[in-house]
Amino acid sequence: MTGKLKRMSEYEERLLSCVSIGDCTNAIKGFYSDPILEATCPMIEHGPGFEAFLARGKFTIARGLLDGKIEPSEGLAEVIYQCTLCGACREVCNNPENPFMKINAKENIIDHIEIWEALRADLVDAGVAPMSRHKEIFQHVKKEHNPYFEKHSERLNWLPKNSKYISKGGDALFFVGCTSVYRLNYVSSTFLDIANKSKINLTISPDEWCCGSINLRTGDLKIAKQLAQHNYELFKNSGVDKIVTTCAGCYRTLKMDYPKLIDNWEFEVVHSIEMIDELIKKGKIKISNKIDGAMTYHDPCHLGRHCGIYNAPRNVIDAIRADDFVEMRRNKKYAFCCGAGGGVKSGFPDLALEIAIDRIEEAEDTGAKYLTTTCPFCLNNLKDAAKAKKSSIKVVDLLELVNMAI
Amino acid sequence: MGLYDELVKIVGNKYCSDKDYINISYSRGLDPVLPEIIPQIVIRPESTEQVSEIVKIANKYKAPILPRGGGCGLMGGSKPISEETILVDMKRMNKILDIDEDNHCVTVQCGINWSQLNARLFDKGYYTGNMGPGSGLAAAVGGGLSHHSGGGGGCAKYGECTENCVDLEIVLGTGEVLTFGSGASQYVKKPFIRLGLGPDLMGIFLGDNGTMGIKTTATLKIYPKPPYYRGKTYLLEKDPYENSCNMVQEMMKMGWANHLGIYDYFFTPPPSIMGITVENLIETWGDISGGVVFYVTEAYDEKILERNSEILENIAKKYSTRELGPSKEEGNITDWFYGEQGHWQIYHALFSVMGPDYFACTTEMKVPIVKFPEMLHKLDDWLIKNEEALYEVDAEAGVSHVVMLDHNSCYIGSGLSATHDEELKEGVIELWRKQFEFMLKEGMVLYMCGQIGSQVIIDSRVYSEEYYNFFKQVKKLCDPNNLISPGKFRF
Repeated sequence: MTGKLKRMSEYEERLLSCVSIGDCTNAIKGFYSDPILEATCPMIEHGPGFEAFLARGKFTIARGLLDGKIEPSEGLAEVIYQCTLCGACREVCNNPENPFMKINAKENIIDHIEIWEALRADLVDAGVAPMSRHKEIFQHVKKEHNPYFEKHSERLNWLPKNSKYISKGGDALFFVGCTSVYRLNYVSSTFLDIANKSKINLTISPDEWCCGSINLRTGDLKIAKQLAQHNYELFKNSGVDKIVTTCAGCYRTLKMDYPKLIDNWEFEVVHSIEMIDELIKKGKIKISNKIDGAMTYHDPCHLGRHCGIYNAPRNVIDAIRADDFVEMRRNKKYAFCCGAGGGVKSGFPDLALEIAIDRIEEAEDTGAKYLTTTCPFCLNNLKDAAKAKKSSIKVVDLLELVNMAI
Repeated sequence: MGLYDELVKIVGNKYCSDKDYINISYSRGLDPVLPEIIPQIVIRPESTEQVSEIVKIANKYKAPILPRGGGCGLMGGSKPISEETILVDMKRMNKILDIDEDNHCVTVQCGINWSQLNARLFDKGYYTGNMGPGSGLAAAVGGGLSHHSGGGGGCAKYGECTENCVDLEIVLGTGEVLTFGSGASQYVKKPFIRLGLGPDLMGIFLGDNGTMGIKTTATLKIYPKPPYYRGKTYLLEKDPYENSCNMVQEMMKMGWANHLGIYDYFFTPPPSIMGITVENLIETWGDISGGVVFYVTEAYDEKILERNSEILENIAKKYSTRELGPSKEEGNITDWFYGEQGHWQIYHALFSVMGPDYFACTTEMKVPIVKFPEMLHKLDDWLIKNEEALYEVDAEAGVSHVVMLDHNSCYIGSGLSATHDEELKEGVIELWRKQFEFMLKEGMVLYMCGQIGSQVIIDSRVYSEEYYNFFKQVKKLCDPNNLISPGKFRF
């Protein structure tokens, strides 16, 4: 069986580095004086909770596959795909939070998310994955370059009439991303509006393809590489050296994955909130209407845990708020996932909603008027959850509040 | 309707699995050397009633049962011994049922882990005193009570966790549910004390390694968490075993935990894995020869802390070469150990030893404090005598730490570290057993048994025949069909 599990075979030493201490299964983290009460893997409390759904169990499964104790199967794939790839397991693994821990499993495992993605890719190669909905998405992405079953020719339909953008050069290329193009297009138009008000010239291309995040997360590396190659050619011809995006998923993919997929990758990638933070600091964005009502912030996993961006959104919130900013109990490194990532929203929509409702309840506990975030994919799922729960909390992209404040 | 279907009827499809790709995740414990067997069924009950029903069905089919909490056993305690095993995953039973501040007790379902429980108690200014095992970030209360756990913090002051248990609900091997402690009285509305209704029958289920029944709820003592603490670390270059022992003995004569507030006291012989656990200690601990001791003292009053610290420091100075500290960077481990959950992490490096290439086969044994220097020397001799055998299986051996308990005893953490070579594993297990046997025959007793330790006790004839027969009769009374954790203690 090992021959069919190419990637897992390569990672064998990393798999052995999980010594089964089980901090990923329900440990508190933080400090005595400020403990984080709930470990953050969404699958601890959602789903059946068997160890197979948690990091420790998945390491044992991967070893079992390599040792031939179990065989790849569709049932196994269904377990492995019920994971949002949020990376909470990586954060709590052997408590790397503590700067005084020198030797820890995390150091040897390196990156849990990379292992889960590789395991999925191996299961795809073995012919037992991905989930049926993902297969449909792959087919559509191949044909129309987006996962939303929309037409590529309608990619610029989100643009408001008379909006200002350029087709080459300028300060940065705005990589809009499929969610902001086809679903929550007010996020992209809001950012464009802010850019226009701030005299930032953005290039927007009708030839943008999906970044490939869904393919990478669900084990389809072949199409992901094609998408990356296409977008890279587009970037090269755009006359910019900086790419900005409003989507945390696109950001992670462009920032972390493209350099691995593309030789000589040379582009600077920033999230829109980083750009706004800089512009506010430099005085290029003036805040004239501070926002009333307490705010809380949901760290998108792709922006926070995956890429380490925690301060920029909080700086922006501090700049625009007239009332309190209240952190949720689980925040930054220990933020609870919205439930949508890793192909869960498309593959297991009920699970994604259940997890998001949990997060909405945590946001409600803060007493905030606004639950803000910086990822349209999180936004979408959290909005669904707020609606399902009939919550009065206003779920907004932070860009919306910035635009109200300037 | 077969076994699986009958179990599904109890908890529903969602919480019962007969799939190998799910159940394989329960084949591991912290040791990767004892056989990893996939249980035939894994079931996740949420209540005592469900556990009782599961046991009754298991009896009908004569299927063995293994209760499992955090799955943190170092010696195979949470690993199935046979493929027929129904593994009962207790982690869904993780509710805090009652925090009674007036009664100074907390009642929990036994699947809750020590860190979750204590985090809730901290919010109210309390803690469990003894913080369970060193793996308490994930280890469950039920597992701790099954092993007399102590090393996760506070055992110099509060002893082993089982000393703090006042009430225990057990599902026996028949499925019958019994409560032990004051809760055994039909007239006690809230459990408050362990002893008082005849002999201490609860003791049969404490430290039983999950063999006598399944622990479902427990009431533990809770204590106000003192707001003040201070910790010190000392280097002992000369005769470290003897000097650390003498230091402890003198501190004990001055009142130890009761009067001086000692919470934890560790001795660790460098090059200690404990030293390299903490990044900033590598430089200060890495090159020293001898041993290191560190202790933490707690107080409810700042002046009392000052006074006690002075007494302790004066004693420590007599037996040590110099103080390491006061900062972490200068070698004082205690702020991290006490204030930053270090007591639950200090062993993590032991579990992973040197990274992916090595794993730990741990032996942890209790001895009187007065005897630990002698035992450490004997363990050093054992290492020399077995050098060749260790070399043949690509393993190393050594002592990592000595942790003081609350009265006259301490436990010694030692064992082997070996490589992940399948062909050598049998030899490693053999040496591991040999070290257990050696220590038992030197008059030590086990801190944890698990699978391998409990078997060595029997194989090495540590018990008299009469004692073992009595033990077996008690087991038969609690579990007539020998279904719960069969194999341990050679049951």
